[in-house]
Order: sequence, then structure tokens, then C-alpha cells
Amino acid sequence: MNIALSATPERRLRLSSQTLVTIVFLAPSLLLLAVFLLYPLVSSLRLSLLDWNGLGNTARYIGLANWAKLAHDAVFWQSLRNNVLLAVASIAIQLPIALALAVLLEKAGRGSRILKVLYFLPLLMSSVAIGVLFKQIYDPNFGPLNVALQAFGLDGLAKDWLGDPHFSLGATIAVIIWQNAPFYMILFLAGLSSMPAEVNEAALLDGASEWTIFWRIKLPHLQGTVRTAVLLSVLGSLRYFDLVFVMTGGGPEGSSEVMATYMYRTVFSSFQLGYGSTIGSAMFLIVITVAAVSMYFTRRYATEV
Amino acid sequence: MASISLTNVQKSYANGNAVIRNANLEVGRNEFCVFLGPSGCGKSTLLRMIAGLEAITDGELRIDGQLMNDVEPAKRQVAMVFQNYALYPHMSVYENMAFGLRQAKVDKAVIDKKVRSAAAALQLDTYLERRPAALSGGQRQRVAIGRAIVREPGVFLFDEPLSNLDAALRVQTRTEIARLHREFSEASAVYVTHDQVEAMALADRIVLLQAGAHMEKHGSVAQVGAPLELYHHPRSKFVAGFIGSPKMNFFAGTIVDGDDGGVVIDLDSGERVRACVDGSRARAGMKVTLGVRPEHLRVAVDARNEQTLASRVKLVEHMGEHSYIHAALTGPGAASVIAKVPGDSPLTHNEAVSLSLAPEACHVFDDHDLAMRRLI
Amino acid sequence: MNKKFRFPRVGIPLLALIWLAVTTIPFIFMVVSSLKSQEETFATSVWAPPSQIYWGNYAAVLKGPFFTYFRNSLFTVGVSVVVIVIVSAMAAYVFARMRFALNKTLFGLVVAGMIVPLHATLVPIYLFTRNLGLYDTPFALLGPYVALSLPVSIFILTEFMRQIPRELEEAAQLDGCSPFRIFWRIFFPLSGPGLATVAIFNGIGLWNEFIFAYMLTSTAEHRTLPLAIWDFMGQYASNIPSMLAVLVLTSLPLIVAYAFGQERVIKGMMAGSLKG
Repeated sequence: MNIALSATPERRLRLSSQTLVTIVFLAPSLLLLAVFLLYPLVSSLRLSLLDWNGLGNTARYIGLANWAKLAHDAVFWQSLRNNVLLAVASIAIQLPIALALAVLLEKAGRGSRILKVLYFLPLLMSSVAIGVLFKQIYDPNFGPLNVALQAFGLDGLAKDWLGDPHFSLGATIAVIIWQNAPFYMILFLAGLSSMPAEVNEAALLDGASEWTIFWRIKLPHLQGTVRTAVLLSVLGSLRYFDLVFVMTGGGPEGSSEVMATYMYRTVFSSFQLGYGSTIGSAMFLIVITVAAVSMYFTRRYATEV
Repeated sequence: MASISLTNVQKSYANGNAVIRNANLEVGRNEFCVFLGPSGCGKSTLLRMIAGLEAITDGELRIDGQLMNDVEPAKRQVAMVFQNYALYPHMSVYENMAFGLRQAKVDKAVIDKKVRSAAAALQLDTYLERRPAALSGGQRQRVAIGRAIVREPGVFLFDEPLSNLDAALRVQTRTEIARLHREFSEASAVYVTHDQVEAMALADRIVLLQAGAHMEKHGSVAQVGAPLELYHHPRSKFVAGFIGSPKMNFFAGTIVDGDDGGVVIDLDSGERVRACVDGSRARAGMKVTLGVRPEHLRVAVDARNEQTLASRVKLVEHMGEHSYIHAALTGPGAASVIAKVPGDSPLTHNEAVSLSLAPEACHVFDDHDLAMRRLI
Repeated sequence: MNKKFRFPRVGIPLLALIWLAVTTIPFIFMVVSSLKSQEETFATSVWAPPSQIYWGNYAAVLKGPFFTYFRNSLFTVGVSVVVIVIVSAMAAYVFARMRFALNKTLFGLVVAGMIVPLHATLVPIYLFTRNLGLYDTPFALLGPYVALSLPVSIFILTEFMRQIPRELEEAAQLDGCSPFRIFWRIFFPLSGPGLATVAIFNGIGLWNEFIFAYMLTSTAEHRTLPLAIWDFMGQYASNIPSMLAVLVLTSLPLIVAYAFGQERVIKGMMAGSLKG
């Protein structure tokens, strides 16, 4: 900003009041972000170079040893794999469901209000509440799910959902989808309602069937929204923590471990702050990279929403 | 002292595109000055430079003698009426009009008096508590005007205030603006419009601005003068073509002979005509343009004693009191011509007609499109 | 041939009903089961309704420190949201309206903050919260809550303020307003809907926030509502209906608030998701 001295006093005054407001108004935000976002990210990188249990001055500088350890850490790669599976499930299962529901709600018009209200409920519960609730529901002996399955004679399907390594991840993912699908439903609904009604009407007059209208008109219109949804899904899946932590804690035997839970355990159960910070920083780098790459390669589909 | 004076004002953008070149003009006290011109000529930009909403690249702007180039809009004591009204949507009409005075820390009782008297002058007194959303377009525009009046500025600025109104409302509001300005004896007004009918009706003086090649060569200001001055004595072909509706007819031709008493021209369509202009600059063989307004062409009565143009009617527009004949000259080039004739004229499509033009009604523009001075 | 065209007509309403069941059954189970006594829970089938409505579970939970948790949530989220709204509105005004060299860059960086995984900031924030003596105090969560909500809030509000016509700003300038006045008298009031959106979106998110609350507080005296569930898990480990009562009680405030303004809340969540 050029605050050049000038002959007339009014000039300095003009630049001053704008500059002053700019600085004063931005300061609180930038300060808070620097302290709680920027500094921790940098500090985390710094901590990743240490071997420390968090107590006192027992920290030992070990260079990139933690990172080398990470590269060979089977548990970490397993957890990353689980994050990826979560992302795939989100895109392949959650988004289509959300889209179908949004299409339905948009067409149903007035009657949809009560449906919309009900569908929205899962978003209002805290993840802890949902986690504990579904732990109950998934209970192998008394949980309503297995009880119902047995009542229908499907005993074979009544598994130990959270306790069996084969099912723990899937069962957890199902709950994550239960929790988040309404969010994407609302997102798609917003995208659909931004489409002018006349386009739909013109297509109907042209003799198009509902199915055709959906594939040829509505879906292309939603390109930008779909792109947003996919990006949010992927990034959210990479960062996910709450429900996994509450329902399985990452077990059994790491079958449902995700990067965030692994990081948490490393720091707060194993007291390895250095290595834990490595995992945290690795998460950050992975997320940033994935975000940048995906946004770049899908920029063709970007629209206002 | 002039209320506003611009000296050699230029405006260009960072990429080098010039919008305003060499603008020199003065607006006197109580003068109603209209900035007129085609789109892109920079008239709104010039207005906003006076307001302080756009920066001046070069030159001087003075208001009441004070240099204002770098003064904040808030401190310039000018009031502006925007094309889209720019009313504060979350405030009532009263609040909208009082806002500026509140910023100036005027006493509450004084504010109340001023707002109410302005509202009364604009017939807004029953609407004072309403929000802009509850008003019609015409009412909103009046609130915008009221907001400006209440501040009693030295300069009123209007940025195409009537273009969002329907035709009838436009005429009505136009006369109100003229009336209000007469009542404010000290303030000057600068009014931007692209509508030359509006300009002719409202202006004490018109500043006609030009763009493109004209601007590059001659500067942004094509001509400044009273409306009738621009009408009768346009300084260039551009001015002649812009003022007057329908547009002036132009015919290409070559000078045969000329002196300070008149010129003789051979038109490309074959006719030889005389024009009452000062031909001292004319040379034989010079390529010129002859201009004559549709309202100055007549159907020839006595072909031998008048100079005429032979043409054939292509289209007749019946406007009621008068009609417009669209014709094409029968000579080489088939130049098109529009003539205004009485409404009961019997002329029909494809009819041959001789149009007569008096030498006194002719305009002549030289090979640089500049007008030769008319001798009447 | 017609099967392809029948599917959407039958399939989608069917899906809607299935999903309705999937969505509501867990809630119904939660509420109904919380109204059974512990004996009845073990004695009868999970799906059976209570023979009579038993409020004892709720009474027991409410006698405990439940209201302390509730109070802490109210304080923490209330203060955070107010600060977020003001601070982000100020920043949004600058990003939307002020012309200066670093505008686009800074805005990009701030918005990029939306992507950052919170876990990458956990350890350092935990460390300095502890070192500053703020650990397990009412103020421990305020800083992180406000700061981490800023990127998305600033993003939403900047978009919003960009929509305000430039002419209003110019009219205010000509009316003699300083930039600060223009913000306070024009932009802030006109951003009402945007501010409400930010308040709601963040309000819901922070009310249910878990990991930071879990990490930066330890005693019931200072913990927020989501932690109530965690803390009560030990106490009610085998008392399932009481546990469910806890779930109902902790979910109730938001659901009640939601009942009062569904459209607003839904719009709020929608806007939070609009990322370019």
C-alpha cells in the first residue's frame, strides 16, 4: 500500500481512513487464525521432529526419524486405506442416496416439508450421541438390529457388528452415512432449486420423460454442486474422527482405524507427542494435496455453487 | 467563479485505455448542465469523477475554486441521484432522507424540518414511514431526489435518473426536476443522460461528449452550448448527427466553388446545391458532406425556383400531426433521406418526389468533418 | 421396456419411505427405550413398548451434574457465536469491499483454512492451552472454537456482502460516511440473513463439537454437553435406559431450537456448504 506523502492534507486523510479500517477490521481474524491455525500447523511440523512424551523437558531432537517410521508404519497405511474406503463409500453410496432424496423432495413440493424436517434430524445430534446410540443398536445380543434380524429368521446375518474385524469398518461407515446424507441432500436440493422452472416446463412440452429430464437436464445443471459434494465428501472422509472414536475407538485390531483416531491414540494413550504430531502433519499434507489436486482436475465443472 | 471547473482532465485505466481526454468545461452557479453522449463516451465516468467516486488520472477538478482531485466524496458537499436510486433498503423514507444530515451532525429539530419540507415538495409526506420496498419506482426516485435536496449541496449530480422509469413517468419526473432546480437559486446541477430529448428539455447548456476515434482526435468534449446552439450550429458532423431526432440527413459531395458568402457543391447523387455557409476554407475539389435536417426538407412546389433532390419514397410513417417520408435519392449512390412532411401528405410508397432544401437550411462539413460556419 | 421408466416412479418413493424409516427408527428406539425401567429393559424384547412410561431414568440423570454441562454449553457456544459473527463480519467487509494488494491472497489463505484437518492442530493447541493455565477453564474452548469457525464464516459473509450493491456504498459515501460508519450503518444491518446463517451454522456445529472439548477440559464443572454422554458412559455402563435418557436430554436442546425455526436452520446448513 502506497502511503505517499503529498501536499494536500486531504490526500493523507483519504488513504488513512480506508487503510485504518482495513487493518483494524482484519486484525482480530488474522490474529486468531495465526494463533490457532497457523502456529499449530507449524508447531506440529516442528514437534514431528522430536521424540517426546509430553512431560517436562524430555524432548529429544531426532530429525526425520518419525517420518521414516511413518513411511513403514503398517497401522498408518491401514488407517489411510480405511479413510479411502470411507471416501469411496461416501461417494458411491451416500451421494446417490442424497441425490435421490433431493430429487424426490424437489418434485414433491408441498408435501415434502414434513419429510425434509424429519430427514434433517440426524444432523442435529452430536456425534457422541449418535455413536453411543448405534453402539446400542449394534449390540450383538440385545441391540434392536440383531433382535429384528433374528425375529425374521435371518440369524445368519446377525453379526457382532462392531466387535468383528470384518464388519466393524462397514458398520461404522453405515452410521457415518446415516449422519451425513441429509447434509448432502440439502446441498443437492439447493442446487436443484436454483434451476429455473421454465427449463423443466420446456422439456416437458418437448415430450421428454421424467427420467430423461433427470439425466439430460437436471444432472448437468448440478455439475457444480456434484463437484462440491464430491470434494467435501473426500476431504471430510480423510479428516473423519468422531463416530469412529466413539463406536470402535479404531478397533478391533485396527480394522476401523482412521488417521485421526490413530493420531489421537498415539498422543493421548501412548504419549508419543512427536510421532503423533508426525501423523497429524502427514494428515494435513495429504488433505492439502488431495484438495489441490482434485480442485484442479475438476475445475471444468465448477459453477457458482 | 464557476461552480465546477474541469481543466485538461484525463482518465485512463491501468491497462492504458483512455476514457476521457482533454475535458475542459465550466459549470456556472445555478446552471443546469447536461452531459450527453453515446454509450462509452464517459459521461457517467466524468460525473463520478466530480463526485469523487472515480479517480482523476490527470488534470484539475475544482469546485467553487477549491482543488478537489484528492478530496474524499464525503467531504465534497455534492449530492447525487443514482440511476438505480441506491436507497437504503433497511431504512424508512424519513431515515433515508435524514441520513446525510445525521452524518453531518445537524441538530435533530433542524433535520426534521428539512426532511419534512423536502418531502412535502416531492409529495412524499404520506410515505415517510415506509420502506423503499413498499414504494413504486417513481416514488423511490423521488425519495432519491429528496435525499439529495435535503442536504442543500452546492452541486447536484444526476446519473441517468430517469432511465428506469416508464415513458409517462419519465416526462412527469423530468418536469419536476426542472421545477425543483429553479427553486434552488444557488446550486448547480450536472445531469447525465443518453436521451437527447431529455437533454434538450432540461439543459441550460449541453456538454456533448464523444468516444472512439473522435475522442482520440479531438478530445472527449465535442461541443458545449445551449441546446438550440447545438441544434442550429453544430461544430462537427458528430454533433449534427447526434442532436435532433430523426437524425440529420447527410449527403456526400465535392466543392465546386466557395467564398465567405456561400459555397456551391456537386453532390455525388448528381445535383448541384448552394449552401449559406462561410466557404473561406473551401477549395474546389474538396470532399465535403452536406447536411440537412428532416424537418427542413419540403416537398417541392415550384421545381424551377427551388433547389431540389430527386427521390423515390420507400416508406411512410404516419405520426398523426406529421409524417416521416423515408426515401432514396434517384441519383448515383441512392443515398437514403428522411423528410418530415405534414400529416395529411398524400405521398405513397414508390412515388417519385422532389424534396426541396433552402440554402439557409444547409450544413456543410469539411474533409475533417468540421462544420463550416453557417451564415444565419 | 417400460421397466426402465417405471423405476423412478416407484423406486424413488420407495427409497424415500425406506430412508424415512432408517432415519426415524433409531430416534424412536432411543426415546421409547429411555422410558423403560432397567428391569423391564432386560426382561422384555427390545422392540416392545414400555408397559408404562417410566420417568425415573430422566429424574436420575437430571439430579446429576447435567445442568452444569448444559450451562457450560450455553456459555461457550453463546459467547463463541457472538464473537464469530462480529469478527467475521468485519473481515468479510474488508475482503468484499476494500481494494488493496493482498486482498485476494489473504482471502484465499483464510478460505483454505476450511480444509485443514483439526487433528493437525490438536497437539500444539493442547500444549499451549495447558501452558497458559487455561486448561479446564471456561475459556479454554473459546479461542479454538472462534478461530476454527472463522474461515467458513468469513467465506459465507464475504459472498453475502459482495451482493450488496456498490451504489449503496457510494450513496453513503456521498452522505458523508467514513468506511467504519458504512460498515456499521449499512453493511452490518443489511447482512442480517447472512449473519443469521453464520450464527446457526456455527451454533449447531459448536454445540455438538467433541474432540476439542474432550481434550481441553477434564472436569464436569467445565465440560460441555457432548461430554456429558462420554462422562456418563462409565456411570451408566449397564443401565441402558438411563444412558438413552442421557442421549435424549443432550439432543433435546437443539431439536427444540430446530422445531422453532426449521427453514432458518436448514438454510443455515445449506449456506455453510456452498464452497466454490
